[in-house]
Amino acid sequence: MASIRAFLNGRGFFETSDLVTIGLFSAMTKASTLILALAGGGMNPVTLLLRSAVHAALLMVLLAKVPKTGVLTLFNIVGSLLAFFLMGQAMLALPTIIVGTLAVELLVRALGGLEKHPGLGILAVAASELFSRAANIGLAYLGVREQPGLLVMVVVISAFSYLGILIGLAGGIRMIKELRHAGLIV
Amino acid sequence: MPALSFKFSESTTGFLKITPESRLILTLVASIFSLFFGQIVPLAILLLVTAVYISLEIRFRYIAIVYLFFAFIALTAVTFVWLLGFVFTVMKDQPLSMAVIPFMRLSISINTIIPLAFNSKLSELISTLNKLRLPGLIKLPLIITIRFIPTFINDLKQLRQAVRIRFRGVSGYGFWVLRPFLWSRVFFMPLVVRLIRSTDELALATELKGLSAETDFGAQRLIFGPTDKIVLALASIAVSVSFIIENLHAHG
Amino acid sequence: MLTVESLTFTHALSPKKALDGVGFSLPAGTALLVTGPSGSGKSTLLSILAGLAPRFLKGKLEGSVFLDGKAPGELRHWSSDVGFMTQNPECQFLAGNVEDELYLTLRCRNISGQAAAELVDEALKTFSLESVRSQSVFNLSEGQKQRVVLAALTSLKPKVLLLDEPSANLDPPALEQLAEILKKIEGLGVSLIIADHRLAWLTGVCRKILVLDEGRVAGEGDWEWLSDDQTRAGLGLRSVGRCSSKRTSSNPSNSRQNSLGEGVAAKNLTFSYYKGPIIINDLSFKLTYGTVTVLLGKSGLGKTTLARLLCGLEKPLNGEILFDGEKEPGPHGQVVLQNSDHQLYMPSVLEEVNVALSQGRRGARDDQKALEVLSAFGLADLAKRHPQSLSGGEKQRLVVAVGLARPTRLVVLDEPTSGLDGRNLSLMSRQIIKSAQSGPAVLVITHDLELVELVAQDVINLDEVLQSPRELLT
Repeated sequence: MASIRAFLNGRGFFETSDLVTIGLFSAMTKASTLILALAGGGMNPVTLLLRSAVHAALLMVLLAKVPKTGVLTLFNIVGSLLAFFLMGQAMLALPTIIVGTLAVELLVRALGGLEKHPGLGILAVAASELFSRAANIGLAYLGVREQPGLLVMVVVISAFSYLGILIGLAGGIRMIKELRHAGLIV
Repeated sequence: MPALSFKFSESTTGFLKITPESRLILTLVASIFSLFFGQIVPLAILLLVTAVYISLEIRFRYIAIVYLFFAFIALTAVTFVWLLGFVFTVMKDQPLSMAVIPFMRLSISINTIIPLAFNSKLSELISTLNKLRLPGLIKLPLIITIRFIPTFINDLKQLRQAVRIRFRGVSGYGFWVLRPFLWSRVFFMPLVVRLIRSTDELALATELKGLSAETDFGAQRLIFGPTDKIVLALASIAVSVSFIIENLHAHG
Repeated sequence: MLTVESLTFTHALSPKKALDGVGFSLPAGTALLVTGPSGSGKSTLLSILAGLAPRFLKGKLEGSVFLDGKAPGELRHWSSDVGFMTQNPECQFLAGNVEDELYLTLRCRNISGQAAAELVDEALKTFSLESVRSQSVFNLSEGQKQRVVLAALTSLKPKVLLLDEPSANLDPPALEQLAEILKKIEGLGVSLIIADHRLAWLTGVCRKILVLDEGRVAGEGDWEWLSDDQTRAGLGLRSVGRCSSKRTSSNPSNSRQNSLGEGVAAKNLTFSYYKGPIIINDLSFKLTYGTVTVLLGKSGLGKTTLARLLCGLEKPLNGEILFDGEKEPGPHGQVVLQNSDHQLYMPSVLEEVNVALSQGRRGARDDQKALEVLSAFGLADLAKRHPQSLSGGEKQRLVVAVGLARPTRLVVLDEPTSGLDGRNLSLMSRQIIKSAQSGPAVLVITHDLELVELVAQDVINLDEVLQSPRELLT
């Protein structure tokens, strides 16, 4: 029990600087996606692609900066709580997202971990975002279960935003290379 | 969303003086139960109660603007799917009109989200977080996040101005069309650089301060005033009545 | 007593030593100024003294540091004794308002309850922050932000305070106020180590001076040693003398230019942000082509806002900006803003200048011209480097080089020399004058009185203009 409390308080595994980095990346992701949503009306294809691409690219950079198991899960928890506090977005999909992301992170750990194989960051982001979308589609089904036809719209939008994630992954790889060249990340 | 430095202070009426914690509870309860209910009557009760709540909290003009904004988002989504229907024929036969029940669920959420979002203040949110006694592992990054969102929005404003001057030859609405890669680069790279620098500076500051996930931020007790108690009691009654009607319908 | 012995440090990603055998000792309650050209190792020295290396500042550390015989072991213990104010004080805040920030600092050291309340009240009083105790930290002036950081640090009763470039964003009155506060802290028996390029404001604060160059101690002494112009020039340092007040008064010649003909004229400008108070009220003046005009005034008077109005980034409530007597639609002129990070976009220094020269249009690449621009600012050797990998001073020179590169009728430079050493200050001022000679009206917004001495051909002092509203343009 004491060791669980110690872990939840970040003792031993996460440094304070890791938690600060996760917090700042959450802030940046939320702020930029919110601004893009406000500027582009939220659901138009260009905004959808851009929002997801920005999100994925930032996640890639975060994993390059803090290559530890649990970073993605913590990022998702903080992001969901923030969306709830600031914008009232329900966090009903969060438990599923946590389980999915944690499973992805454990798989990455089993394959050798991000410290040894930074390239696994691509797999981690791609798979965890897929999980998030699946969880949100499940939740959306509950919301439109009387008129399941509307779910098509949710699925199409999720698929399109996932396309943005794939574009963001490519952008993230380029960005990490450049940030290393600039000496901003090791 | 004053927490994000937008000027929404004049949108609120200031009539219901309830705590942010009460607003959070109302939002969470409304979103869970609206999802749970499948009958028109219980949803209508929730819709009515939340409509009264938003009317007491937000000026009518702003409620109208918010609803128009959501309608616009819904319309762009529907148009987008409709356009895709030309490419993927399987989608042509899907109903695109809004069904009544999903619309009611969405409206209930909007009615509770907007008072929460328009009344949120940074300092109050940080204090609310302390009261919630979350684990340090989550609380520390969350406080950092809330603290830095205005900084990033400010960075973005400054960046927009710098870009307008530097790229005045192509700036304006044509920039992202004429040079999409350059446009995304000039907006995104400086922000990422600022993000990484802020991360390093702030990590250094927290280390120097001795702040860690173990720090006791001075958690305070949750205190509800008389107005909070009345509002939460009324909300409980509305949810209970709706719950009973939902179950009567289900078993009848 | 702080003792530093043969301190040597090599950054993790660099083959070159950032510090090489630095040693000195500092008795309690003494203030030491650490100065030297950009990249001489001042900030690295302060970071090591703050106990940040090698755990936080990665690299190879040799030599030793002792504070009252104690080495910097666990950072959290050391940092109670040593306070560090970084270049950007805003980044040190975590709470929403001033009072909460002080409480949080104490709470991190397990001080709470009545003891914390008393310490907070005392700190607010000592640093004249009582009037802003409930104010958001975002809305404070730069000087107030620094005072909040210093109040928080001193409330922990440290033995040593480290200040990195504290003068960078302060106007002269705020600098004088900071100097007074530092003297007060020194009087409490706290040792101060201040790394700064600007020297004049510290003459009454620091008694000892340590000059670093390329990581080594280039010299140690007192103000008399640095009073020699040749010594300072050899070490690449700035002036130690105060600027004459004549240079900071509005030039009467400006009011004689009473035509709306050639030049950039602001006519009856009035401005406020959305539903906010009036910031600029009925202001008129004229900027002449080929002339460097310096805009002075306290922080918060609206100098940067005025620059934005001049370049069309903001619309005035009343009045107009005229180029040769005519209005110009959309953004016009070149502005170099304070924060260089927002103005560097490309993957290489050369590319940065090229994109600026072409203003983002396709196929307008001119490497030769770009290299000429870089050479003028001593940056040609860095052409292939990533702009974000440059030092603060190099980045500042690059953004100014980019701003001056394109032919235009108006150039506005906002604080172009805040972090520059003496050598680069001279280089920058030469380029500003040269740029004005090539045609445009150049407006320099600055608190740096040494720059005023070097470049000002005309002066607009907003303190005077706004105190007794008068039209500089009849």
